[in-house]
Amino acid sequence: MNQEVTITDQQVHEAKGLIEKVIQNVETVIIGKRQPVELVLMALLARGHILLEDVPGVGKTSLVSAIAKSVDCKFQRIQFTPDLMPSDVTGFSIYNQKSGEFTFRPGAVMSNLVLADEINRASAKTQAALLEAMEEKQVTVDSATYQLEDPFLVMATQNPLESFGTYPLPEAQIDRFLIKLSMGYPTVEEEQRIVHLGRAARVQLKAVISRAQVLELSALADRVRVDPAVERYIVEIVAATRTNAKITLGSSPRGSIALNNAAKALALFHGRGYVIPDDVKYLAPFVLGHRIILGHEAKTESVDPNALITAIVDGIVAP
Amino acid sequence: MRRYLKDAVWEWLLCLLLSATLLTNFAQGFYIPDAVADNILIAAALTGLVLLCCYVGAYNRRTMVITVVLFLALASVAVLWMRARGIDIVDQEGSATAVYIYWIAGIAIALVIFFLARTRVGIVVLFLLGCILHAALTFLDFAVSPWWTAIYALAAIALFVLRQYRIYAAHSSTVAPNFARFFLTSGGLVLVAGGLSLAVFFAVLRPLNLPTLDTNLLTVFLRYDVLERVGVAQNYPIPNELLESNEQNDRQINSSEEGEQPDENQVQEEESLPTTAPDRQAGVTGNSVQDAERLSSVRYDIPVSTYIVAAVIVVVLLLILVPLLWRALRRRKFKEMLAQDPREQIIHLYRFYLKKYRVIGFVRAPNQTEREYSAAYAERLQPYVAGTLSLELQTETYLRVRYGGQAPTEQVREEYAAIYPIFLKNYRKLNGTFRYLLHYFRL
Repeated sequence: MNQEVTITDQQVHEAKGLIEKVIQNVETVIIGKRQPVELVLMALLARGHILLEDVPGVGKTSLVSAIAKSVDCKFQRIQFTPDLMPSDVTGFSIYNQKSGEFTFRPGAVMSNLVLADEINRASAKTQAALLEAMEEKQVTVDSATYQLEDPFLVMATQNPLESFGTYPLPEAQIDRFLIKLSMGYPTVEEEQRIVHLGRAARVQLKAVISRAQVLELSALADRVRVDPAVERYIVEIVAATRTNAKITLGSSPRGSIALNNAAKALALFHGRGYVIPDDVKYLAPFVLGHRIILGHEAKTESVDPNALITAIVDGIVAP
Repeated sequence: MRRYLKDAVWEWLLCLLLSATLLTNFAQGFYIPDAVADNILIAAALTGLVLLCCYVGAYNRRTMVITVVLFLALASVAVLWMRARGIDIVDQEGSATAVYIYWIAGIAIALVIFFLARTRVGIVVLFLLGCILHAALTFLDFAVSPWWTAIYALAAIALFVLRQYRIYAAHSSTVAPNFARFFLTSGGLVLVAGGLSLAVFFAVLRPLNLPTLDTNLLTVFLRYDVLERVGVAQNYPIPNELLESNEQNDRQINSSEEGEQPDENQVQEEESLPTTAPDRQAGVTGNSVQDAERLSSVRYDIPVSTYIVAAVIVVVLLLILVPLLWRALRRRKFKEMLAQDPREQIIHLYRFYLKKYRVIGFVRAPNQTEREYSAAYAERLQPYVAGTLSLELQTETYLRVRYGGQAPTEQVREEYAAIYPIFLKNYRKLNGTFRYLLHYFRL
């Protein structure tokens, strides 16, 4: 869509100020992880979900919790285990003997920010329940539909090391996550600061923007201008994943839409009312890396999907 | 230097093919011994040496001075040696002019090809001029070799493809060099072009049966007539029959005007006189084959200095007029860009400046975004844009206008337009007038 910029410099400047406030607030407890913080916030504004694949103990829960507190949103954590039922996620109706009616008990997913810890440990049916909620932003229990409150963000985690007793997410379902990222270990200096900080800082964390402001920022991100040349660039990148020799299945058009939305949110992050090719280039590995299925040879060679996406982007002529 | 020479080898080779084939065909129209005129290796050696000096010299100022001095020294030594050994005397009458024409033509052709081959437009001009020249040489009955003509065309197309390849593919980290492919592409293009030309000739021109033969004869006669009037030719090879019939006509006209009867004795006496003037008799030997050869050739006897002076005058005029014309065209093109819609102006100017930065070595790779390009070269480019918008500011303005759809303010437009003249001035200050002139047509 070739629209002119409909957001003013003033609006962009204010948005950037709010975002920076949140980041700085989160960084008081999440040390040295600016990029994951920015990406999670960006996904929140782009109304997407995050798949975080990392080892235990690197701050995944702390990150989502810190962001939830900073933006004054409800936060819920679901520990996925093999015996977790779908109704534990979505909620269930329970018979109230006093009133003689069924009462709905909302599940853990009925929140603004949801941390689905070790999603690959639950059965496929339970995973599907969460994924449906992510896609539809509603849950259906006993033929009754309950809308999920905006903003709604799910950060699902996976342990990349353990495969025994897990139910890997189907590739078609992984497509529903906007980005996939990794926290990584902190540096020695950063870890020392974490140790020094202790638990106290997390308890003191307060909201710096309201939920309504978050919704306004999301709406503003939707209005960020994307030039047709940049749209074309996005589509060419995604199309290139479908013809690469090392990829069995490339990204679908959902990937193009996701990259477009993510780039708009990132542009707002950087104080711009328009997307530039650099935004697309930066986000492509995070947005598309989990949407491709590597070929047998690439898997044997342990090719990193993100590195492969970067190489594909490097082969595309920039606008 | 090593990398520069390695990159320049292919261009040198192609320019060598162009100049050697062109010189060999061009030399067919002069009275030069076949051992020299038909010898492509001599042409290649001469032009190859000149081109080598040009490529090595173009590296920087120091190498240019060294190569010019060396070349002049070598050329002087070669001329003196040839004169001492009598090698430059090519015929019994002692005329060395044709050999020197060959030398001067070879050097001139190599220089022209070198300068034109530096840009894609120049290569296209080279191709067209070369083809027209070959056609003209064929039309004037020079013994043009079709093989050299074909090689010329192939080399020109290959040079264009090489230049295009170097600009785009050679700077990508994901595209591997593939010289075989682009040479094959060039060969294919020549075949296509040749096929189309032959098709046009056989399907259109030949059925029209144009009076080219008559025109050719007229050109031949005109040429001889002009040469005699100018006093260039000493041996005037008019066919005996034509001369004899003209003289008979003149006698009849004169005697009828005076009312005299033609004196039979006079007629006999005149008929016994040789049909060519005394100073022309030297060219008639009685051997019909030799006479035919001499009758079909034109011999020059102008001093070498005349050629040199004429060449210098032409070169000086060209050196003055061409840059002035080029500058006027460049300014006009620039003004046209300034007169556009404000957004279009910034977009076109940015791309225009990128082309100029490319000339001085700051090439944007195809996969590089504008910001990446700015980050890579802003610091090195800063001296060239000192006193005007830095590359970062140019880039941010462009991004705002191009992707943000924002119209630039009047002040921004003026600042953007002012970059070019300041860039040229800085370039000249940083690299010197010589290098500025070397890149004049590309900046």
